[in-house]
Amino acid sequence: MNTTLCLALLFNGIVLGLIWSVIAIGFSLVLGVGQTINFAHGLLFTFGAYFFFSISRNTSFWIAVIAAPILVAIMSLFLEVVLVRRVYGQDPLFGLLITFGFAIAMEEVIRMVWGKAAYSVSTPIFARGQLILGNFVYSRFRILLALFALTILLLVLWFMSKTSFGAIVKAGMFNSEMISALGHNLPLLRTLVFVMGGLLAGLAGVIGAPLWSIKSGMGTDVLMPGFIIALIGGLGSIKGTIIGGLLVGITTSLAVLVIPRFTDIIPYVMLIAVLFYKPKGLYGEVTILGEVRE
Amino acid sequence: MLSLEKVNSWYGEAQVLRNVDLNVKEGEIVALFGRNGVGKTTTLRSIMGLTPPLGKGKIVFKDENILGLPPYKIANKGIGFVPEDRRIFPYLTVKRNLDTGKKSTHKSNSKTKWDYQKVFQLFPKLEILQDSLGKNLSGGEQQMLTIARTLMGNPELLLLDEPSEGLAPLIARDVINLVLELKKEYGLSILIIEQFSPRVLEYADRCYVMDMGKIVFCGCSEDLRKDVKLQKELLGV
Ligand SMILES: Nc1ncnc2c1ncn2[C@@H]1O[C@H](COP(=O)(O)OP(=O)(O)OP(=O)(O)O)[C@@H](O)[C@H]1O
Ligand SMILES: [Mg+2]
Repeated sequence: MNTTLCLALLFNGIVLGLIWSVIAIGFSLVLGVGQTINFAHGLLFTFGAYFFFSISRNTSFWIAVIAAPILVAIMSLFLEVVLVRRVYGQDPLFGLLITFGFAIAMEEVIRMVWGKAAYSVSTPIFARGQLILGNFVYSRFRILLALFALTILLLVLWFMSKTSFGAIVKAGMFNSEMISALGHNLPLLRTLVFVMGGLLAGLAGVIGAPLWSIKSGMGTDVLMPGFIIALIGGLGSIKGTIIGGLLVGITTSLAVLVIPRFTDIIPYVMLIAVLFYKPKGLYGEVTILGEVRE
Repeated sequence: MLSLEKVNSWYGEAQVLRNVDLNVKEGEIVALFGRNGVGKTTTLRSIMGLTPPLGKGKIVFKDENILGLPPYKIANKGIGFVPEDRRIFPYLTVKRNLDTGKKSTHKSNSKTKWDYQKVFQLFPKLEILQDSLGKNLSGGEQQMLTIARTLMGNPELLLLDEPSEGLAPLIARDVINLVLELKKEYGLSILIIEQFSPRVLEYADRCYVMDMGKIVFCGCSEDLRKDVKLQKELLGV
């Protein structure tokens, strides 16, 4: 087998895994704290990509990197306040349906505003060129994007494991009633976490925009892997989600060598395998939608 | 400091508390006894706003009616809730469990401002275990942690739900001694629930007995100690 090809696939897998992890973490936090399956998480990602595309074309690359995720965060605040807030504490199905409906409607809005054509983002000048190691050649831009994703993941990891806010969020996933009884404003906490999830989806959109073509359905393509990785990693575990993301990304990418026509099913097979042995996921702390008391 | 007047609470259609009157004065230890399922936990949940009472009753804390406020606001007024079954967060370390008890907004009048250092002074065991996950602690240590976590929020009134339940007698004794220390050394007012505990009866300034959601006895501990018949009938002693 060709080693440079393998190496390229490995790198692709890592890039893919990191961006999927960013998506999965936002999704996982919202699911853990709000007990809401946010079907619109993929849509927020899509908006991140479109905002990034439009803003970078009209202003500058760097303004777009900052503004796009913030706009998505504001959108998710609106979504939480108007819709999602109503379904906390109810059957999770409501949350799923309401965000699903919102996502479908907004995808239509995207087509109205930006049209049906797909767009692509051009590589900024500073990131052009290749990384060359012997006869292995890899896009410099992709490496920079991967490092950006990694930085975001490490920041979230630090935030969740070192700050008091992180402790409260994690505790809230486990027993939200206890969190209120300890004096924390649970509705506010849920809003903050939802907005944080939106910010992460927007950031993922910024990273995804140059990697993939920008189209209205791009969110749906990443929602499933994100969901699967959140479950594989274990709800509530940032570390698990990062490891799960890399595992699924690399395996999916390398599988091209072995079963080129079936790579799409890899994440699902991995999910079944992991949940069979570890129902709470690799580093799971709570089961999906369940408060576990030991 | 705290007074309940004609508090009525329901779980759905089922009425659990019936016209409960109860009060705790500043610096007192008050005990609430009663057999399984009579509504003791529901009383504490009603005070905390977790099972909000319905009807015309009142719950007054420091001259303010707190009935109807959300739980976090009630907690921030200075009431600390230590739930039954030791609901620690098993996947957080001891230290991070303590973090969840800190409050950012509460301006407390409590005499002690609790921090890691103060808490570890009172619970030396927790200092040794500070980096262990909650789930790896023994039952007694978990009970200590639940109390310590609540103290981090600087409460003035502590509500304790069966703190010695399921603990070995020696450890249960430590927990109850600690409650006395919290009153004496740290000036906390305390409402403590037990099914029945002679030791708590000994320490309590006053006590109540509950049966089928009603208060059936209210008086000083001495009277209950002497009333063997009541102890037998209502507490199964
Ligand atoms: N969440 C709930 N939903 C419906 N009924 C409940 C609920 N929690 C408690 N009950 C019922 O309310 C009554 C009082 O319960 P409560 O937990 O207050 O009793 P308790 O005195 O604390 O008992 P124990 O000593 O066993 O802790 C019981 O009959 C119980 O079955
Ligand atoms: Mg009880």
